Amino acid sequence: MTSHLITRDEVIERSKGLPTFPNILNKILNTIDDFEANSNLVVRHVKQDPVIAAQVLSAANTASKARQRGDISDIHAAIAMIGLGRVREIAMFSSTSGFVNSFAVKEIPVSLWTHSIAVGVCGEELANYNATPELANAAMIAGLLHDIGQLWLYCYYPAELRAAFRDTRERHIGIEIAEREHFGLDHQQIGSWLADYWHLPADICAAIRYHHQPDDAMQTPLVALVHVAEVLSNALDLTGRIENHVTTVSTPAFKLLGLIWGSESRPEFGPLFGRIEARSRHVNELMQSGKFL
Amino acid sequence: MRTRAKYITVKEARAGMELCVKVEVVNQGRLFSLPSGHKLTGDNLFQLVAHRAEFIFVTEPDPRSDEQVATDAAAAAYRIMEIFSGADLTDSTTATLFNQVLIYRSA
Repeated sequence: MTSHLITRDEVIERSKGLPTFPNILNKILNTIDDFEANSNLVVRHVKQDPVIAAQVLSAANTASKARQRGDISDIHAAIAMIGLGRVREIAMFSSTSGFVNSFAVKEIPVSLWTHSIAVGVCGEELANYNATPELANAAMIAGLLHDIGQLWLYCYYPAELRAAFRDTRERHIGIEIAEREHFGLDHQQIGSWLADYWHLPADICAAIRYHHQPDDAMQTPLVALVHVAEVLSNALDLTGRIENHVTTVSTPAFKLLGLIWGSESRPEFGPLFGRIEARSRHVNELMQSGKFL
Repeated sequence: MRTRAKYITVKEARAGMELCVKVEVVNQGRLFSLPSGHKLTGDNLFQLVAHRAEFIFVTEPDPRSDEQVATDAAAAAYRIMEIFSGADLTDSTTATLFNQVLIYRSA
């Protein structure tokens, strides 16, 4: 059934015609959580991206004007004016929108982006639920990028990928299995080659590589986090996309996150589901109001 | 009239809705809080947006008839079964997740 065997060389060669995910976002998010210790580093990272820097300054001057204060032209003062939460939001949406916009000429379904955002939000909530907030930023980025291999397939093999999705619906199989039948490999492998080529952090590369088979990489907690995030995103039918299916569920991954469903010790699954749904809608609305979806 | 509790985005919030749990949002070092049971005002909504709150947990009137509630629950159950159609429900983790989603959707 394999129609074409895709190799790493082909993936990397063709990726040169695609946008690169802005690694600056990862740098900003990793330093922003400890601004006191890293304030100069945050400022330096923000300055490295002219679009993010301009948006931070713009937001700061809007806030300053509302308080009848003077103009702000310094990034440090701008960050102090708007707060780190707003800087995080600007960095996240600016980087993601730039990345998404650069695919505008390709026929990428909007549902791929909305699903990726939902998995990112879900991963972030799970990190906080599991008392590992230090993983929240990486969970958001890994969620946004976990299906990057599918994005590559949509760019170069759209008809074959759609056929693979049809198989998942007709035969009730996971997309990774259908892709292996069509291409000899799946979007996890393609995505991990891309992530590695873009020099993304090792745990994000692993999450992209193993999110459908986390048992092979349980030593990296982010892998379990992204797996469970995607399972919950599909189970809760976030974004209502037709491709939402639960096939493989890893018990070790759920246990690692302390998700012992229905147990009296962790009875708060309802609020967790509710928060995930509401935040997913909120972030997707923000993205769409930015008019890049 | 029956009520139901749900998490909603701040954009979906309306004046008069009652908070199920307290809201605490910190923005630029300033705390904005509202107690559980508080009924939202127009000014509260403005403050929630200004403090960049993302979601709240509210109780709202549920005007649906019993028949409509049953129809909605059946439709939700159908969709969940469709989503889990390729899952191994003999696996205890999968089965528990399936049941929890079913309960959550029926609430």
